[in-house]
Amino acid sequence: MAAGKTNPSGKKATRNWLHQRLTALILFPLVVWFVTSIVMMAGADYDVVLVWLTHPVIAVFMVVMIGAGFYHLSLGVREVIEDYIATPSTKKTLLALNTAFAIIFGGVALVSMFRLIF
Amino acid sequence: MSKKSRPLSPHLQVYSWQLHMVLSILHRATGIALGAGTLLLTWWIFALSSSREAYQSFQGFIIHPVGRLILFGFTFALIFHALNGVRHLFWDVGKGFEIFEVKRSGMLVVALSLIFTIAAWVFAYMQAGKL
Repeated sequence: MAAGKTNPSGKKATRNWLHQRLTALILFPLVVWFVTSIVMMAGADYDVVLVWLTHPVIAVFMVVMIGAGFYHLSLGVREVIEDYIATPSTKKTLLALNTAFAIIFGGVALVSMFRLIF
Repeated sequence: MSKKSRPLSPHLQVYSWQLHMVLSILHRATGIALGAGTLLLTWWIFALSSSREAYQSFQGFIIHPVGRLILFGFTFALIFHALNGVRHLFWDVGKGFEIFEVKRSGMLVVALSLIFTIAAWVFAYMQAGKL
């Protein structure tokens, strides 16, 4: 296969497929919880939100949601890129950008969470 | 790889639009939109961890009609993607593949997405004391 280098191996693709489903299972209850919480806090000011977010249980939920969310996102967009981008070089570049996006913005969100907790 | 001689499989333009197809496309579209939406989530947490002023500029964006519209779209995308994702998980374990089931679950997801999105915003406005 010509595009062999940019396509994940069968094993990796299976792992990605499984991880996407596992993160989906983790994310569903967290998203229900998150949307409900945000709705309940509509109109709340800085201090109220800060107290909420720094509560240990809430912070753990948030960290898990951010981690699973950005991972799930990168797997999903990876699948779209692999489906629609045929040119190997373009595909490779987009896949790298996709990974970088998740690492950078997921990283900023996680570091910010840790700054809030500690 | 000669591009001319390669046969193409039938693609979007030759199918008549149907619910399951629209939802399949919408699942990916909302997934990508949520990817852009994560910028909002990251900004929110980053601002909270930075300073009161940083949080105020985030709030300024969200309160603006354009920001509100983006947040409304984010809400719908998140709820739809989560609910439709459940459909995909059922398919993954081999359930719900009959045509009538696919149609029924599809309509259910659309209806619930709209109901939950509107409910979330109505409750949010009530909570904020603006309704």
